Amino acid sequence: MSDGGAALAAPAIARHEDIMGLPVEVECHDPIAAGAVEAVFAWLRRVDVTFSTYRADSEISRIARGELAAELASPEVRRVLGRCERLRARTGGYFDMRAGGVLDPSGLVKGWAVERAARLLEAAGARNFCLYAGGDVIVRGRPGPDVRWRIGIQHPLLPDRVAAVLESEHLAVATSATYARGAHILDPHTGAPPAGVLSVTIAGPDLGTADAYATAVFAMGADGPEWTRSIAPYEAMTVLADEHVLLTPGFEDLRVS
Amino acid sequence: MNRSVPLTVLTLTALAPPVAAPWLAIASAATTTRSRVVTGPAVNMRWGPVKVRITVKGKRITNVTATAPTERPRSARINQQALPLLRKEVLKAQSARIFVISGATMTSNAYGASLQAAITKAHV
Repeated sequence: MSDGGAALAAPAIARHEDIMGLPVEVECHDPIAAGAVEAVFAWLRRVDVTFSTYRADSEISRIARGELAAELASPEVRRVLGRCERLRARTGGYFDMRAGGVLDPSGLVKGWAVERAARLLEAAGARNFCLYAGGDVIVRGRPGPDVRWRIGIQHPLLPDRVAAVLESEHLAVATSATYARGAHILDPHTGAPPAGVLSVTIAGPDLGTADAYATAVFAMGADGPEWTRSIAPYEAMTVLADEHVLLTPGFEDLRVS
Repeated sequence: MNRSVPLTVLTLTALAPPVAAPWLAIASAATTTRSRVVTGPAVNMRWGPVKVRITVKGKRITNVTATAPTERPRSARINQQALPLLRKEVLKAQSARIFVISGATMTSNAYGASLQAAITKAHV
């Protein structure tokens, strides 16, 4: 560029909407049909209706009250609940959709739903896009010919700073921390908020798993980093309360600052 | 069973890059492809008050100019020397921009406050 700026065109499509009380953003640099973006938001609204623990008439609320047998729930609900069970086993019980005493698969649902949204965009021909949903991120391709997506990781103590910056052309990133909503993650083994950890970021191929792992590692407290040593192809950055930061080698590879 | 990998240990102070964070998807706030000009408030610099004006197209800063009181003889020198540097820095900085920030679930209100801070910051 003659002015020395990056070759960053305005995105073909940029749309924001609040769903489940969370900000959801789509930024797509391919000229896909407007209907494809609408389908993404329609899908996420449908997930909210089906899975919300805040809606008394959602399938999840009806299962929680014993009005609907899990086996008779819709295929999507059964699939998500099954995957939650497998994640519970995989994480030594630290990802537990019943940690708070009430059925709440939200720790997987958001990431799973946004991952599916990314597939909808890809099926519509999108190759270069960024999806953001309440702190979770998926990137594909590039925002411009000479520019790569840069994903900041929120600093757990300073609201206007990032703790790290990642670059990738194909990545899902999820973070669990205490700063935004207080201690909303409980250690399922003690029922108390975990001690010793400020934030956990998981990066990898699938946002559902990244989201669930972030929740699980956060619940592990100071023991979390040890577990993150064996979760390839997922990578982790854990910020402990003593301000030590523990990173897996692959996370270091993604990190540009 | 996955192989266990070694962890890198750093401190938060050593890690945190000096990046002003909430560029958070300014995308949504700037869907227009029309150019617009945003002028910052007057800032007192060594040579007197200066107002910086940026031209934004879409999400991109396409130009940076600054105004200083024209009757001041130093004004010309500012525009000759300081401004090209400032312009180069701003245009370079945006190529290293952070597009999106991963954090714990934010409510819409917190998001709104954050976005507002970002836009305010972008205008200065």
